[in-house]
Amino acid sequence: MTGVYKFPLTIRRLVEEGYFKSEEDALTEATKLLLKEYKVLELKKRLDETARRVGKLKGKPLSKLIEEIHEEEDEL
Amino acid sequence: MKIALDASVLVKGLDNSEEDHDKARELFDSILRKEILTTWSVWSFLEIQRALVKKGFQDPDEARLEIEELARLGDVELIEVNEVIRNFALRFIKDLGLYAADSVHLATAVVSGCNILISEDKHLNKKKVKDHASKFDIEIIRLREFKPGSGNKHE
Repeated sequence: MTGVYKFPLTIRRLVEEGYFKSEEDALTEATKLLLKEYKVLELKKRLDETARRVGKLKGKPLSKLIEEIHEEEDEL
Repeated sequence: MKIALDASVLVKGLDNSEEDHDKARELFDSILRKEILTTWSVWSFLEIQRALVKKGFQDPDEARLEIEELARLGDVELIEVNEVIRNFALRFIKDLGLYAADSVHLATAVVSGCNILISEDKHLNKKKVKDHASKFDIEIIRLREFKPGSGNKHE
């Protein structure tokens, strides 16, 4: 063990072919993509949970309430 | 193709008892995958908050913030109500009898150069409003009429 990390051949090739400035740059971009994907998945889960909770409530659907909010102008 | 969305469409993704909820969530997925470029007026966030409060939902901030995060992660173009939009909106209120919020959404679509405005609002889906919008090369459609990748006039 030398303690020096050797990047996989694929990453080195991507750098050689000019897709990234360096191996570190490639790794940073890959991490950013993974983080973004994680955030998207988390958001979808939260949206599912919100939609489930809102869906349980009685009363008019939210889209109808939006129309009603607009019509509140007439009551002013 | 650039698409404007109003609050009546966005809230369909927040309520699984809404008709076309699945369609709204498909639209959200397309936004998150950046398959479509959408434009929203920031006014939508106020309407969403108001509708959630009116519905009696206990965490309106939380739900609204999810929609704001959808905008951030999907690189949605958020448009402020600036002077140009205000002037168009004023005209639409006078000429079409639109409510203030509806006129802001139509003005946002016009000023930001959208080809389609998706709205579930009955006021924006009136024939005279649709005809007027077509003069700006904007098609106003309901969510169920939207077919990403095919079908719509401007594809």
